[in-house]
Formats: sequence, structure tokens, C-alpha cells
Amino acid sequence: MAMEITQALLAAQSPDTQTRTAAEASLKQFQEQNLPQFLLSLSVELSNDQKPPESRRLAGIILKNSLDAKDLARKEYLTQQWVSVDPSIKFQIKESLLRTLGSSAAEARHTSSQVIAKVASIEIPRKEWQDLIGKLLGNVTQTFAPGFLKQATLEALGYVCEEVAPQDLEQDQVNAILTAVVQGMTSAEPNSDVRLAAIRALYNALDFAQQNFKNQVERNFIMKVVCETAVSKESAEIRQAAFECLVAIASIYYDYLEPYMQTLFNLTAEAVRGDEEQVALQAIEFWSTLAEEEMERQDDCVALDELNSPVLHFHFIDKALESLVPMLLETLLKQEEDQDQDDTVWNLSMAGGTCLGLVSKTVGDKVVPLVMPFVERNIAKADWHSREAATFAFGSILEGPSVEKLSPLARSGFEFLLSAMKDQNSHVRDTTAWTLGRVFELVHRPASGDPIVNEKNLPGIMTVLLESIRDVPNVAEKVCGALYFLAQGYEDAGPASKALMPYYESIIAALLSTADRVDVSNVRLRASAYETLNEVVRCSYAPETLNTTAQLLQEIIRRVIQTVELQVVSSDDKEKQSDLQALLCGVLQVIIQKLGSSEGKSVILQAADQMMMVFLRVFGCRSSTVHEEAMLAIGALAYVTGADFAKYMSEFYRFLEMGLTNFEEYQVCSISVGVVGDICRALDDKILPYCDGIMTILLKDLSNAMLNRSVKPPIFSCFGDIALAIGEKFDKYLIYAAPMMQSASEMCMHLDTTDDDMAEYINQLRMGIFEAYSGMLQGFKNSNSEIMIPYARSLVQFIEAVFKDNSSDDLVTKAAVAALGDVADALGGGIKVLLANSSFYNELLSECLLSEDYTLKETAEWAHTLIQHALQS
Amino acid sequence: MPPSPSPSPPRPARRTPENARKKAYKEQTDVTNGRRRREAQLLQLRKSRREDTLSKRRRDDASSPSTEPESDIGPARPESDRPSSSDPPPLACATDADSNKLLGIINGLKSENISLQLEATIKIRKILSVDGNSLAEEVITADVVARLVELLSSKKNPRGPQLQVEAAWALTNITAGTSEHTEVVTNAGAVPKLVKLLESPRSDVREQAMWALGNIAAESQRCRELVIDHGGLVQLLSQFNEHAKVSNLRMATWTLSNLCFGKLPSKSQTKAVLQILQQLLNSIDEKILSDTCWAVSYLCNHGTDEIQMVIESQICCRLVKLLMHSSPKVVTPVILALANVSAADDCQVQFLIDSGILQCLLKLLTRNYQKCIRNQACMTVSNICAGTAAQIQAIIDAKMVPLLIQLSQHGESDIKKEAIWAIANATSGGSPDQIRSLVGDGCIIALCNALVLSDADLLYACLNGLESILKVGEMEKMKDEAGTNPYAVLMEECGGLDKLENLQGFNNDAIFEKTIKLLESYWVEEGSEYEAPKEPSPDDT
Repeated sequence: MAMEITQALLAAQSPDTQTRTAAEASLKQFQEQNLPQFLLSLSVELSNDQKPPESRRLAGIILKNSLDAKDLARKEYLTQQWVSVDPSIKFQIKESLLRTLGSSAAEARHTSSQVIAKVASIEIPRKEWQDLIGKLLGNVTQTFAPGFLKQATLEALGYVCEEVAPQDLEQDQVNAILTAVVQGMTSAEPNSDVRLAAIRALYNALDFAQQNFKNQVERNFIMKVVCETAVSKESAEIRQAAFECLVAIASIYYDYLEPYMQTLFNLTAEAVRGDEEQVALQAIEFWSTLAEEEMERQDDCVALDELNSPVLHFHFIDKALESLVPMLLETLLKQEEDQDQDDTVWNLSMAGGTCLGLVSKTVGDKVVPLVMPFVERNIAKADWHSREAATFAFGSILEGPSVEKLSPLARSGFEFLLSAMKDQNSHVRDTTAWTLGRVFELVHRPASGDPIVNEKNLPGIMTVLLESIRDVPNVAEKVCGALYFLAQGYEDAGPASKALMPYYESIIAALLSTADRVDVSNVRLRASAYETLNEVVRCSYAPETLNTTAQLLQEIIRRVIQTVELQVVSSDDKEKQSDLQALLCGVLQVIIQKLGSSEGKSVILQAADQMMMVFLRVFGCRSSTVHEEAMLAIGALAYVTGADFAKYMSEFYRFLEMGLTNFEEYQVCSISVGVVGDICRALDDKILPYCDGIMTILLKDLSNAMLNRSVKPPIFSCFGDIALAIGEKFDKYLIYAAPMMQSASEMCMHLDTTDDDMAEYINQLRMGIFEAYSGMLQGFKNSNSEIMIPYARSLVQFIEAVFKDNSSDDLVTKAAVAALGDVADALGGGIKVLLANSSFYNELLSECLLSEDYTLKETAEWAHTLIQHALQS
Repeated sequence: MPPSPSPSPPRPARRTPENARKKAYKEQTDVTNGRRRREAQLLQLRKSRREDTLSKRRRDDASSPSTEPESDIGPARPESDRPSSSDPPPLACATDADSNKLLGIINGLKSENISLQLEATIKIRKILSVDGNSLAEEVITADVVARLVELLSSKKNPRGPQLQVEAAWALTNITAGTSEHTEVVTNAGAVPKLVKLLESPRSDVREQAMWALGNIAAESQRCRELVIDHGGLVQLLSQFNEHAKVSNLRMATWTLSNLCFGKLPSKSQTKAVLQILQQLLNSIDEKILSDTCWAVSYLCNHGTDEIQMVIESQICCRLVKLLMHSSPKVVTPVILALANVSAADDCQVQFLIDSGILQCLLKLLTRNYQKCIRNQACMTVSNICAGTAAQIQAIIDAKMVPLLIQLSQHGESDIKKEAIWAIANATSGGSPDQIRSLVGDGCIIALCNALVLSDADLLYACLNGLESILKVGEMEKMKDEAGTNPYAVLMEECGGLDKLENLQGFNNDAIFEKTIKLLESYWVEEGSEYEAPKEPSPDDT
């Protein structure tokens, strides 16, 4: 029986803290003591039209949160919890939810459709609730069903499609859904709310329509109805939803688009030019999506050998170019005042410019002659809209066309752009600064024979940039970007990279004072200033800038200490402090890497104590966790100090442990795992005293289901690092670590590789496992290699399994081959028994010996030699 | 406990539009994602350091022999499956037991039973594959080798081919040893039989025979001629057909490159070889490509006739492209070949320029290539600088001069020398306009700085270059109101005159005379102190 919980639900929303806390506690108690009854009571509350909307709303929210969570581990937990609820109660809940779709309260109907989808996402893949689709369709196809029931039901169908995967539904179910949905979209349906719900449901159902799109008759019908809906007179919302469907179709069903392209071009052009903004934006989105799809296909064609490529590529963008580009250029003139100062604005000119950028990336040089006349016509007009549009157009086409094509344009436009940095309109200045940044990023090639930035124009450029960095914050941010890319261009440019060095000091000074600006409410400018500082330091020409960088190091240390001494009252203060520390530790990390690898190493060594003290104080600002950026910087520092890092270990270890055990913030954990590796390489066997502690935590992390899976592969690699550092002393951990590696190997063989994310994860896991084995085999090689014999067979089996499954990338293959070589290297003749009766290793090696990847081939040669040698011994 | 499987993530939402696009608007991703980029860089760094640590361990002991010695410039490379000598020999010295064992093996070898023959051959092959094995010396006797050679032509028997492979393998191992060992094999008449094996229908037999022949060819010119005289070259060339396996092609290419190390007896043979090499240059297999390029570079070593044939076979274009290949194993022989071509006549050099060699050389010189590659690249440049005025112009147009000047000051010593050669050549042969441009880039200082070197040829070339420059300076003098030779002034300013003066003490007639000539022609009227230095006697030793 459901319990009466209305009062508790209402009280839980009371403004009075005491009442609220008590009600929350009582609900929680109910939930913990009798979950099935609790859920049932919630669903009854939601379905009962006599109850107040507030209690029904909260009932719906709690119900949803009892079924789904963003966190994967939590979601899995909730799924199991639902599965174990008594079937008869689950049945009651589901019936109650379905009933609610016909409720007179719109909000309850809406919530119910969402909850139905959540239940479906658990049950449908398990082949349960198989009559759900039938029941929902029953609601829609009843001739006399009220409009609001149809609407809610279509909504539910849409959500269900969003939640479950295509393979979980039978084709006849899909057919029925599509029929019902498309039926709901046609003008035969009098209720426009129903039509809107139908078209939105179609959007979610498109993924299921593979078979239907293969069939020309069905495809024509779907396309016809969608296109008709896209010009429906009723409401902009309906037309917008129809265009959203077209956008989705462009990416899912590109292969079938060709016959419809003329129609689609006309439809989108009309919408862009004449329809309301929300519709026009989707029409532009259609072309952006198409451009992205074609770029992807171009890459695939190249990757897959152009001639025999199975990838279809119709060059729609290319073919539509002459009409498409003018249409997009028109949109650029529809800017709003101050759109660059408001992050929430998204309008026609922004969408149009972004689309133009994608188009130019797709077609390259061809876009240039179509855009340049527009630029030239508008760039000097009195109306700022024209000037801004012209500059935006130019900036948008800088990626895609060849540097040869763009260089002369950039060269002749330079003076103009620099003078436009003084335009009276800040929007124009913003776009100009952004465009300069793009020029530096994409066209500036200092090492080329005739660079567009040269000793003649560099002084002028620097004067303008250093002045404009004091402009209003949004412009200053773009100027930082321009400096960033200007500096980046000089990275590895040989002697040419000296060119910027006369300005090194003044750039640093300008960036430091930008970071200090008091008019900066927008935190992005400060971040940009520091990140630009990082790039300027990273790309600087080392010997000449050594002193300045060393001074900067002291200044940054001073700034970090300042943050530690800041008065921190509110949580807001705390966050600001932490963000600033992140930026500053980032700069320290860059300086450590820059100087640590060159003549400046002594500077770092001298400041090492000071820096370590600063990092520890940064750690001290928090109680429960550690600062990621400080951790990263410490990793970098350990490489420079080498074995001397040992003296910091006793104090640092506490924080390292804190980072490693922080499974809730998995990035912190992940970074800490990486730093363990850094320290292993710095300290070698001096890390031994800390290994018991570290290994214990790492093993726990591996078995922790709540820890984000992405941390697990690095943990395995870290085992390898530790084994390499301490050699034979690793023996006491082997009996714990090796079984983990074995079971992870087995897990790899059984995971689903069709899912891209999963396939990538599997490859990372394989990589980690191989690195673990390699580290151990090499670590034990010279003293106690027999200890690995019991584990070598499962390694060899794993290598074979990885080889036979074709989903591994070259890096994994290389790690596999290397591990095979390591077995031979460590065990010598001992591999005879392991390789007896198997021939896969020969195939594997000969495949790799033919690889075009030089390093893979070298590894294979090395492994081959060792194996031959071991077999003959 | 295994790492628990994580639940599969929800399907990614398809709704890209607004938010994703908004980020793309005036995006400066790199700037805003600095943190992620830094982390990625650190990750990359970490990965490479892990690799370094591992590969150090992997190379730690010498248990990893390399089957094929690295290609060195010059001598052809004998090969065997012998591991490196640092391996502890499994048998320290031949004991009585060993001798008995050996006796058994030799008896098996001599028996008429193919199983016994095979078993014995395998044992011999294995003994030979362990370096430092004292038994090896005892096995390599005329008797045993002669028997192995006999077994190369074993009768039709299902196990015949295997026996052929094993016998050829054993002989391969012997030919990888000392010259004396190889001689025992050739004296036993192995070459014609090995050549015959190249007709075998079995690819493993052919491959092993090629290997042995390759080792023999690597020994000496006489050995190479022996192989060619017995039809080895023709048979080898017929191995390159569409049915060949990659491993066979690799072996055949390597053997061919060894045969090319010496001058081939006839032009028609060279032509035939070039035809094959031309095809092989398009191979994507790096090993084949590398050995092909070595073969070409050897051919180019034999003289201008061969170089002309190389050019006529139209492979230069491809060679120039291969300069940009990612592996030094390919680039090294290619640049050696092209350096040889560049030493040939002006027409041949023009061919290289037309193929776009200058841009490639520029890249080779500015990027982080091995020293020997950069050295050869620089030598090629200096050869081109010794060409016609048009060719010198091509060097100037390719913006190579500033780089040469930089290399002449800061390059490693060999490269420095080559760069100076290049500058000296260009200034000696350049037209007045070209010389003005070269001077503008700083050639005077570069040449003057070189006047302290001890290499007489190079010094003479520098003086020649300076002389050309000063001559052009005289023309400028006419235009100049003050009537001074601006280039002579430049030389004085950079301390070149002092160095020139010092050269009067250099012990070489030609240089002494050239020095005096320069001093007298361009500075004499300014004062008498240059006229008759105290002891200008050229005979002075």
C-alpha cells in the first residue's frame, strides 16, 4: 500500500529550516526503510489530481533521482536498486505513471513522461516492460483521445527513444513509433501542441530509423512531412523543431541526402532570410552540421585510401558555395550592440560567421574569392555594422585556405587591422583583435622565407598590441589571444624566434598588469593573461631570456604567497583564491619546464626549496583535497631535481596520499597517480620507504567501483613505474598487483568494442596493463626474473587476444610487442614453453615489421631478435 | 578483486547546436584550454620519459644482438644470425665430449640418409650461429664445407628443400665470418650452386641462397665478380617479380646492393640494375627502400658514366623527394648518392636543381638531422655553388646564403668547412651582381674568418672568392666619389686584412702568391708596409 506523504513533501519545501530538515529526514528514513513502498507512494502522489502541485512536483523529482544520476557509478547503483524491487510493486508504479499521462495537470503529465523514460532506460534493455510501446501507441492512435494525452504520450515516446539504444527496440516497434509520430506531425492533426510534441519525438526517434531511411518510399515520406512542417504557418516553435530534425538528418543520414538537397537549400535560405531568429538559427545550423560532416568524411576518405573508400562524399558545401556564402555574409550584418560582452547571446551574425568558418575549413581556397569582395566593400563604411561584418568575415575564413593564398591578403590587410584597433566602436575592435589573433595563429610562419610578420612591421604590431591590452576587458582578452598566437608562432622557428625577444620583458609586464586589472569582473581576462604569459615563456628563445624568466619566477612565487595570505571568509573567496592559485601554479609549472631543460636549470634548483614551500602552503589552504595545478607543477619539479627530491618527500607524502585517496574528484586522483610516476623516475629506489603506503592506496583505488574508470589505466602504468624504480623489491607487491592485471586483461576481452568511448577506454586499459608488465619484467630482469614465470602465460595470452581483436591502435600494438620482447628479455629460454604450439607471435611480428610506423617497426625488430635468440638458446 | 566494470555511459546526446557552436564563436580554444593543454603536454612528456626508462633497461645488457648491422657508409655488410660477441659462449672450450659430438655430426653429414644429413646440418648451423664457439673453428674445414656445398643440390626428396635451406644457412653463417672462412666457401664451389638455387620454386630456399650470396659479395671485388660471372646478377634481378614475397624482395634488394658496391663489369648490367632500382624506389617498405638507395649511392660512386646513367634512368626526381623521407636509414644513402651527382658536370647538377633539390637541402640543413646527413647536404650545396652563374643564382634565390653564413660560423667543424667551401665557390664563380648580393649577406666576414684555417685547398678557394669580391669592389670604386674600394674597406674593418697579412707566413706557394697578389693589387698604394714584408721567401720551410 502506498503511504500518505503529501505533508512530508510539502514540509520539505518549507522556508522554515527546522520544518524542512525534519521533513527531509523523515522522507529519507522512509526511503531507507522501505524503498519499494517509498517509490510507490511517490508515484501515487504524482498521479493524484487532488494533490497540490508542489507536493506532486517534488514527488516527481525524487522519483527521477531515484532512477537516474549523472555519475555512472551512482547510476549503476540506482539501476540495481530498481531491478531488485518487487515486480508487483514495480507494476503498480508503472501503471500509475502511465495513468498520469492523462492527468489534467500539465506539469504532472510532463514529469510522468520523463519518469517513464527513465524506467524504460533500465527495463527495455533487459527485455522487460515490453508492452510499454504498445500502450503508449494506444494512447496516440485512439481517435477520440484528448489532445493533452496525445501530447504527453508523444513526449514520453520521444524521451524513451532518447534513453534507450536503437538495438533495444524491435523493428516493428520502431515502425509503429515512426508511423504514430509522423501521423501526429501532419496537418491532419488539428492540435498544434500535439504536432509540436510529435516533431520533437521524431527528433529523438531518428536514430532508430536506419531501416526506414534505407527504404526510398518511407524516406521520401518522412522527408516530405519534415519539410512541410519546416514551413508550417502555425508557430515558430514547430518550424524550429522541424529544422532541428533536418539538422539531425544531415548528420545521421548524409548518405541519403542528395535527392533532397535542392529543396533543403531553398528551405534553409528562405528561413535564414525571412523567418524568425530561432528558426533561422537552426537553418544555419543545418549548413554548419553539413560542413562538419563533410570534413569528417574528407578525413575518413584520406585515411581510408581515396580510391577504394566506402565513404560517400557528395561535396554539398562545395556545390552550394556560390549561393551559400552570400547568404551567410548577409547574416553578418545583423549584429546586436554589445553582443561580445554578453555570454548568453547567440544570434544570426554569430551563427553565420561560425558557419562561414566551417565552410571555409571544408572547401579551403575556393571560399576566398567569394568573401573578399564583401570584405573590401564594407571594411571602410561609416556604419560600424559594415566594418565589423567585413572584419568578421575575413577572420572567419582564415582557417581552411592555404597559407600561400592567405599570406598576400593578410600582408596587405595588416596596416588596416592595426589601425582598426583604434576604431571608436568596441565591437569592431573586439573582432579586429580576434582577427589579428587568427592571422598570427594561422598565417604567421616566422621560419618561412618571407614571413608576414617581419622586422619592419613587428615594432608597429607590438605598439598596438601593448596599448590595446589596456582596452575594455573583452577586447583585452582578444589581445591576449593575439599575443599568445604571435608568441606561439616563434616556437621552434630557429634563429627567427629571436625576433620577439626584444619585447619579452614588456610583454610580460603588460600581461602581469592585465592580470592585476581591477576593472576585471570577468575572470576570463585574468585567465587569458596568465595562459598567454605561459605561452610567451614556453616559446621564448631560452638563452637570451634567462634572466627575465628567472625574475618572473620570483614575481610569481611572491604572488602565490600573497594568495595564501589572503583573507578568506566566504566560500566565494575560497574559490577565487583557489582559481588564482591554479593559474599561478600553472605559470610555475611552465617556468620549471622551460628552465629545467636548459641552461636555466640552476635557477630552478636554487628556487626549488622556495617553490616546494609555496606548493605545500597552497596545499595547506584546503583541508580535504589537494590542488591539482600545484600537483602538476610538483611533478615537473621532480624531474628537474632528480634524486634530490627525496628531501621533500616526508612533508609532501601526506598530500600525495590525500590526492591518491580522493576518488570523488577523480581528476585529482588521476593527476596524483601521474605524479607518483614522475617521482619514481626522479627518485629511483629512494622511493622505497613510501611504496607500502602508495601501493596500498593504488590497489584500493583499483577495486573502488566509485572511482571514475579513466583513472584505472594510469594506475596500472604506475605499477610499472614503481617496479622499474625499485626493481626486485617489488616482489612483495607482485602477488597483489599481478592478479589485478590478470583480471583486468580478462575484462578487456569481454567489453563491448563497438562503442567508441568504450573502445578507447579498452585501449587505454590495455596500454596500462602492458606497461605494468613491461615495468615489472624489466625491473626483475637482472635479479629475480623467475618470479614472473607464473604470470607470463597470462600476459602472452593477453597479447594474443589483443592481436586477434583488431580494435587496438598502433600505440597499443607497440606496447604489446614490447611486452612480448620483455618476456623474452627477462625469461630467456623460459619462453619456449610459453610460445610452444602457438604461431600468433610470428604473425604479429611480421605484421609489425611491415608497418610504416618507424618506432613500431623498430620495436618489432628488437622483440623479434630477442625471441629468436631465446628460442635458440 | 578485479577493477569492477563500470556501467556503460548513457548514449551521447546529439544536441550539439547552440552550446557547442557558441563556444566556436570567435574561439580561442588554445588560450582558454591552457590548463588541459599543459596537462596533455605533461602526459606526453611522462610517456616519453617512461619509454626512455624502459628502453634503457631493455638495452641494459647486450643480450639483444642486432641481426643486421647498421648500414654504414662504405663497406658492404656481412650478415649472419650470429649473436653479438658479448654473449657468453655456451661452450667455453672444446672438450673431448665435444669432439665426440662433432664426430657424430660429421658422420651424419656424410651419410646417405637424408634425415641424418638434415639433423647434422641443423646442428652445424647452430654451432656456427653462436659466436666464440670453439667448435666453430673445427667445423669450418674444407671437408665439411665441401659436403655442405654438395648438399645444396640435394636430390628430389620431400625434405630436400629443407636440407637446401639448412645447408645454405650454415654456409651463410660461415661467410659472415673472416675472409679466410669466406674463401673456404668460394673455393668449395658454392657460388654456382647457390646461384642455381635462385631458380628453386621455394621462396625460403631462394631467400637463404640470396643471403649467402650477399655475404659473399660483401667480401671483395673478386668475390662480387665471381657471383656475377656465374650469372648471379641475372638470377638475382629475376627475383624482382610480382609474385615475390616482401621478405624475399628485402633479401634480394640487400644482396643487389652488395653487388653494386663494386663497379659492374658492363654498362648493360648497370642499365638492367637501374631499371629494377627505379621500380624499387617506389616501394613503401623501408628496408627495401633503404637498401635500394644504398645500391644507387654505390653506383654513383663509380664515376661520371654511372652518374649519367643514373640521371638517364630518371630516378633523380624520386631521389630528391626521398630526401624528405622520415627515416634516416633512407635519407643517408640518398644524400650520399645526390652528393655524388652534384660533383658531376653542370648539366647533371642542373637536373638536380630542376628537381627541386634546393628546398629539400634547406630543410635538411635547418632541421635536426644526423650530422652525417647534414654534412653531405652541405657538401652538395657547395658542389652546386661551384656551378654556373645560373646555378649560383638558384642558391641565392633559395635563400640559402644566410644559412650558409650561419653554418660557416657556428656549424660543427665538418659542416662549417663545407659551408665555407660553398661560400668560397659561390663568390669565386658569381657574376658581379651576385657577388654584391652575397656580400650583402655577409660573405666577406665569413671568408675572412676562414683565413685562419689550415686546410690549404680551402684557404686557396677562400682567397679566390675574396679576389672576385675585391674585383667587383674595384668597379664600385669607379662609382664612388671617394674612390675607395668599399669591399677592401669592409675587409679591413672585419680584421680580414690582418689575417691576410698573416697568411704571408703560410707554407704553401700558391697561397703565398695569391696573398701577395691581393695585398699588392688592393692595398699597396696606401702604404709601403705591405710591399715587402720582411721574410716573404716562399722557399722558407
